[in-house]
Amino acid sequence: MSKQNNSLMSWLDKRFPVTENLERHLTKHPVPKKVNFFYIFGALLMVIFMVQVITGIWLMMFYTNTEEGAFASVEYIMRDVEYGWLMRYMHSTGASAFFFLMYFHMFRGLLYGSYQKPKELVWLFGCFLLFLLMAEGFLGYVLPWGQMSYWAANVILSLFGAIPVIGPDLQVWIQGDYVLSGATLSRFFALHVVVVPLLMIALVVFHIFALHEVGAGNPEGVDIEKHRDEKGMPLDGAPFHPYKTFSALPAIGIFFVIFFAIVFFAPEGGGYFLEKPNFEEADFLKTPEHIAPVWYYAPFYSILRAITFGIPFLGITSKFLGFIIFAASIAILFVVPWLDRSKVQSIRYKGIYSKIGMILFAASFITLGYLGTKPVNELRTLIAQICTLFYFLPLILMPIYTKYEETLEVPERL
Amino acid sequence: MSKKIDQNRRRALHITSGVVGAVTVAGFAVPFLSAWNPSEKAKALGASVKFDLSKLEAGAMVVLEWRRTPIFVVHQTSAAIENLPKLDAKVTNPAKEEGITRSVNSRYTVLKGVCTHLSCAPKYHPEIEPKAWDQEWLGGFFCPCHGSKFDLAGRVYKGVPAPTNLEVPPHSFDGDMLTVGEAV
Amino acid sequence: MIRYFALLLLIAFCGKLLPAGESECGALESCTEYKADVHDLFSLQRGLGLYMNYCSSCHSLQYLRWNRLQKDLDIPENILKEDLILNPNIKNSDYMTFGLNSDDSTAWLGAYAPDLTLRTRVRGESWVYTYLQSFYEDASRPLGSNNLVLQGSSMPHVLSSLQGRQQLNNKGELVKVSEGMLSEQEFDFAMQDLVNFLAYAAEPIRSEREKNGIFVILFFIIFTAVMWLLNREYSKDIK
Repeated sequence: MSKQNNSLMSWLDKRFPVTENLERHLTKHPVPKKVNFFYIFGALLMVIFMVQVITGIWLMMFYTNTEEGAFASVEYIMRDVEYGWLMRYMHSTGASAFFFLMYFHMFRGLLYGSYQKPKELVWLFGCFLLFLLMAEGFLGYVLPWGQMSYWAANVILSLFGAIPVIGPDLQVWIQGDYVLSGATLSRFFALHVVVVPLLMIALVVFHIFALHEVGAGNPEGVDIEKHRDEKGMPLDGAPFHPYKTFSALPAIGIFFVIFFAIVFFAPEGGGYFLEKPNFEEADFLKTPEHIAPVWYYAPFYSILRAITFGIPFLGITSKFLGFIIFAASIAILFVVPWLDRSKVQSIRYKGIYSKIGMILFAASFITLGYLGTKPVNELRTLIAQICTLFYFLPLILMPIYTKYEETLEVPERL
Repeated sequence: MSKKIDQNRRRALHITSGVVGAVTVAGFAVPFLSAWNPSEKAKALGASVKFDLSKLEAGAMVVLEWRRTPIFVVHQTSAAIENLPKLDAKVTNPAKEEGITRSVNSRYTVLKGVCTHLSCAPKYHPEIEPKAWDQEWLGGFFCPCHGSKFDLAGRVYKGVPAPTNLEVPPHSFDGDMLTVGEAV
Repeated sequence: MIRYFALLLLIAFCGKLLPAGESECGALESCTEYKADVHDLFSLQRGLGLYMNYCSSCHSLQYLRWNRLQKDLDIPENILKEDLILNPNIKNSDYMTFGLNSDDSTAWLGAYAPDLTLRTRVRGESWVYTYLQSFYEDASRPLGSNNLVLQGSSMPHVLSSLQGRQQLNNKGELVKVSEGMLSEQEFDFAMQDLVNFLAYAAEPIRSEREKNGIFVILFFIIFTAVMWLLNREYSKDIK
């Protein structure tokens, strides 16, 4: 460090907490030394967020947010704008990657009890981020104004219409028109480009601040703060920079190998990332044979469709009940910190019921996802209903089995 | 506890990873910066414009549009070509190196119809007769906004608000076919 | 832990084996598999020829510019202007609309002939490939023809001069009732050319992206390797 640098830093530090924050969050912030690959997804999520923002900004420079021009402007980007095709594919692949990473990141949280005290707030901010990401994906998908954009939006908006009493008026208000139209497109554009991203940035900041306040977990569920060295640094911990920053780099490399393999060789993702009907411009007179959401909504869509019964004496239609249970499937995630009464954090040391519960939950989620991309028939609806049950059951029963099951002894040190 | 840190190895790795990182950033930057180049649509709209000169009579002017700019194409009469050298003293920049018509073709003049003062469209006055703005008018352009005067080859008169001659756009001739702008 | 992940992967892959959407092929159980080759320049040129002769009088390619076609398929200027564009008022930078509008085709055919620029991306290459070969005579239809892949299609059997005419036997299978200019195999190759061309029109950049992708991936493998070494060096500190 030259004298020049030192005086610049001290000039800055008197006016802005530069060094203080660099140390608190990077160079002197202790994190568990030994974690597994499940712990990389947070960093990868930040990378993909940046990819989406930057490619999104660039797409905005060429996209036309009107009903008349939207579809053609996407082809303009694909054909006439230099490297426009690359930006489009990075953004569409990025959306699927974002959800893929998000689901694994949350699964890590469930496996290793990352939501347990005192990290409940980290988990809450995270669940809110999932909700925002789902909104962002939905809003973004409408923008190309293809057949699936239009008709899938219609399906989701009609869910709002199913709310008793206020539903139809609410739907018209959201649409800004009597039917889904350019008015809806323009406002979805503003929400997708500005509102939700700003909220997401704010929440990511809160999420990380909350995490840094209490410290990251590890797969063993050991509290590394309990054993420190003479300098106060946890014995099982290491400063985030350079140890975790550098270990993230090869993971980012591997991620980009997979990401760009998809972008350059299979951007349509077999019809899962860019759905076939969406290569046709929206036609309000022609309904596609099979309206399916993008793969990342499929589990929740499956739950929605599985509810084929209502509660007549309460005036609740099956559509509305489906909406309620669909919303509950996301909402229940928020309260997991209070459902888990276990003495131990990590699945490694929890009892047999937690392990069975976790397998059932994950298997149900994946099966529901698969079913959600397919048209309904009697057998599929039955399986979806069973899977919906096994999605909720491990969570609803958690307060009971986590409290009473036999757990293993958690080691003191990593 | 005493593991020797091989500083040379570390430095080598720092440099290598730094270079790889820089190449990655540059690699990401290229598509995004290139995307700002004119798109195919812009190139299509900004493409060269063709005009068949056989329809243009001597002494007449046609106005074409190229890249949202009016382009004046003048078919000079013999009288005009004779008169132009006489104005060498009256214009700020005689531009003798550009030829009498300021074009490769000795019969036609191609100009951007944008006054070099504040971008109004000058009016075509080819008549050789006294005018309100010049008793010895030998034909040319008069800009109604602030009174700038140009001769039939677009050269600016001395003592008017406009500082430079009317600009000559890139153009070429192929027999009777005039192409304004570069051919793709 | 590995066990959980392995189990998850197993369950996950069971579901992902099938591509999206049901295998829809109209009256046929499944479409004949075909994967377009957009790297074969001569095939694309032949496909373009077929398109101009048999398709362009009804179907526009409204998102494809003539000059893009020229650059990608290596078409000389004179052939482009004299044999393909034909109309001196059309600029090279214009879109391949062939002067068509949907009102005309609706009047002539009873339904509008859709623009085909993105058709292989909407229907799939196998679908289009099978569709083109599955026309048959059907007296009950206004234009006398029907198609096994798209039942009730308003499109006449424009390729009958090449393929020959077909009818359905009582098992619902296609049988040829007259010879076309091409043998069965020649017609099959011709349809491959045509589908390759349509796949190109749907995404002109595809050939280039598939060629360049390998370099991008190689670069990131090198990136990973370098960063791995850097990380390994530092992780020695905290062993």
